[in-house]
Amino acid sequence: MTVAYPFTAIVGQDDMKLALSIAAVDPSIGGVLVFGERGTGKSTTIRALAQLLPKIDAVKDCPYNCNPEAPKQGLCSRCQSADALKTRKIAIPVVDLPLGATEDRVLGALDIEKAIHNGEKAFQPGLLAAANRGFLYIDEVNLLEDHIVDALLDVAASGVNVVEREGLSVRHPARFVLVGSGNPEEGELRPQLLDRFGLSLDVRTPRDIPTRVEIIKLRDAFDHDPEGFSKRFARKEGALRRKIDAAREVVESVDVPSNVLEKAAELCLQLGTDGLRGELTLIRSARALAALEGKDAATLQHLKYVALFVLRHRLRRDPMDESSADARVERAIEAALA
Amino acid sequence: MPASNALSKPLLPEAEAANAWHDAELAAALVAVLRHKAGGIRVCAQPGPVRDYWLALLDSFTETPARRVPSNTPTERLLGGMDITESMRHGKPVLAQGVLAECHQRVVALSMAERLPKEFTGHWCAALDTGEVHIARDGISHTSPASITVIALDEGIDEESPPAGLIERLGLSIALDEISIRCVDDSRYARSDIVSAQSRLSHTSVPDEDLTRLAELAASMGIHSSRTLKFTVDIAKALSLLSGKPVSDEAVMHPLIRLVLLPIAQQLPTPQAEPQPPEQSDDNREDIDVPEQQTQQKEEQDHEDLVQAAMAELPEDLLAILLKRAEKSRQRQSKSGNAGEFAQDKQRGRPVGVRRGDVKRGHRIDIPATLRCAAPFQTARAMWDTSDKKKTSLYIEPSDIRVKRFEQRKSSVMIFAVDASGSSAHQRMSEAKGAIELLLADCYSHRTEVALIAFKGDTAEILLPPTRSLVRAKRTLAQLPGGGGTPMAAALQATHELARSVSATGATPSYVLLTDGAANVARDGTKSRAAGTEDALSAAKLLANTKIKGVLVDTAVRPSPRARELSTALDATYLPLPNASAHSLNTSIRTLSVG
Repeated sequence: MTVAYPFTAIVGQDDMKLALSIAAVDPSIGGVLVFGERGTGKSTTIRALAQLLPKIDAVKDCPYNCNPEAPKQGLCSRCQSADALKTRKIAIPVVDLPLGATEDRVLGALDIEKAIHNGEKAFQPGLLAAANRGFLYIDEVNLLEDHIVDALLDVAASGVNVVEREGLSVRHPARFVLVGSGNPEEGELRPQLLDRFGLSLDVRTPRDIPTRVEIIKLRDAFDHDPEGFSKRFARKEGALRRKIDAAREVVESVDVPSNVLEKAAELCLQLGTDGLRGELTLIRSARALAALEGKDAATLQHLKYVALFVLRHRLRRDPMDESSADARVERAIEAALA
Repeated sequence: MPASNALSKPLLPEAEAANAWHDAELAAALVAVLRHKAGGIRVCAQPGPVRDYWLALLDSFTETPARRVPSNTPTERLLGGMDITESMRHGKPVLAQGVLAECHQRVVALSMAERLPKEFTGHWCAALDTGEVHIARDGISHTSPASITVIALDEGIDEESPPAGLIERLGLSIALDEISIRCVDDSRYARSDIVSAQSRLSHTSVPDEDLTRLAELAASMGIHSSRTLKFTVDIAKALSLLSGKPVSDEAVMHPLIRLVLLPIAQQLPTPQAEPQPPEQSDDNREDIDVPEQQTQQKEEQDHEDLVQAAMAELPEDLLAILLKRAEKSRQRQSKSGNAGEFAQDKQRGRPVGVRRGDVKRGHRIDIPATLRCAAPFQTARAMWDTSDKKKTSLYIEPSDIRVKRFEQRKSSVMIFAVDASGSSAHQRMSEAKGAIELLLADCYSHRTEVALIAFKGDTAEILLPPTRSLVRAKRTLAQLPGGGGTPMAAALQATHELARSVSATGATPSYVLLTDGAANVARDGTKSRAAGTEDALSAAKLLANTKIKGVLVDTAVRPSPRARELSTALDATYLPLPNASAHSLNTSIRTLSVG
């Protein structure tokens, strides 16, 4: 594996970095969608995240990275029936779902080798199994083939992958943070898939020259000596990793006072977003942000910061009105939180 | 776009052509020095001796000949997948490398890049971005190194162009069509120059003030991608090594502008740099942070001076040549249409899994799925095999055969032909635009693709080839200028041709013509109301013969008899805009798309 560009060496794109950190703190937020023009460092930033994630406990040799601490029904069938579970530390998986992937690799399928040699009907877990408890990254998510999207939608909503094919009947946990990136000019995203993302961002290249020069200088230094460059940023990476790790520990206990809850509800009501998902994501994101900042309670400031990312893709969609979605959210934020 | 034969481009005068060839030569040397660091090069040229000579030149620089890959190479071949024979032999999935991995550290000539289908573009882009191929197919997950250098052989005419995502990832661009073979002379670079530049490349750095200047220059041409800027810097280094001059020297700066920046420029640097880049107007989040904006404006003030300095470096005649070329390539860029895009992905249909099938019917067998079906029975079948000679390979029975299933989605394409002539523009342009926006919204909800044709002056132009991207449709529409005569015949002809190419791909076309019906430009471009109307009516009859459904939306202030006459000739539904409330318009259009 080649060395990836360090997350903390990415110049600008603070919103994108923060959104990804929030998703890393609380996976139940539902992932991040990054849309933007070409050459903004979308994939660089997302790939950089992988090196930053803290380690987690997982059942040894479990292909689904089952959590030994989790209640039984959240485990795969093998871990459920096992008496004692051996634990090991793993890095939070970041699994790439490449374009052109076929269903058998995404969902998992019959293991041909075992079937031929042993006549044994064994399940070969797919990418969704590998991504359990981690991240599933789809670059050019808007170019993903429809049948793969269909398969993803169901699993992303339920957190369980059910495979009924080739005489197999398997179900295994598949809870992952969906991270997608793409260029809106190359095609739209299906609304159902859009809805699966907790946060959505629109990124642009920085337009001021000093920042752009800084980007190029760092990139140049990285290309020249990737290992050395990464070492230079090791401390910063470590600091951010610890910050995320600490936030993961405390996020559940961060208090969300009633005024924040009320304002979140007010915002959603005002924008007419469907269902409770928007509100829930809003509260969770504000809480994760507070945890990242080391606060013990979320404030209206936190809410204000995340509101745009949480709500901009949830408005009842007028497809012609791309730019004004942001404006509408901003107006609502101003009105509710001024 | 005039329907001229763009295959035979006028040649440049000899002196200019010699310079152009020198540029091409330099570009080849740069590709050889930088390889994947420059992504590759877009070569706009029809096949011919000049292009062949250029490719041979590049081969002599790199020493390993470029590998030709056709643009229609399918996903399974690009990425690789299961090696059937090996998998059978070993009884487990064995990987067959794909083209991209086979081309690791090589130069790939992608022929007919302008026809590269949308569904394959992502694979090329991923390999260019990461230098790796990551596959998850046919029961195999694997990552192979694939750092490739792409020569995109672009034979596009008029609005045809390779996908924008691919162009973005290629650092260099040259056009060879205007160079006569007589101007092609012997190379000024030798293999040894390339090798020596290559070896010194990693020790070369660009001073900060030059980096700033390059960033300035790119920004002044509307180039904002960090990826392109990185290419620019790397190419500047290579140029400086090849020429032996510092980066700030004109021997570096001028070729850099000609080969890297101008071909993709979105705007030309103007001495009075715009206070705000055009795209910022719709960036709402920018407004939150007022102080930041102020500093930005101040910085832009500083840039202005620098841009002027950079501009002053360019000799005037050079600027004129560049202006001409840039205009041309800008036009191409803005209509980054891809005829192959819709021609191919519909015909194949989308794969929707596998089913039990019969080999003889010409279905495509899905080998991995077939193997999976046969696999569980292998031990049993081996036991039952009573023939003397025990088979050593696999037992596959007809019932195991699985074939690929494709779904040919019956998609529909709505062609909007918009009258942007003076008469229409003055009266109802904004209403017409509003009406189209409403219709576009409706198309979106029905997943109908849209295409946009505008006509004015003496031509009709496809502004937007069939697309599902509403962002693009909306943007194109907003930028639609008005003015000039009404070339109705040309408009109908363009609609007709586009509709035909749409049905050739298996989709159902229909059209909406928005006009006041005041045809006043004949097919040959002469301004005459009588001839214009006559030509329009005959073109309308031709279109009516195709039985393609259409609606004519009359945009005249009062319903005009001429528009009604035209709609009769077209056999199209007639809708005068004054009555065409958004709702009734939508209902009428919907009857079209349902049919």
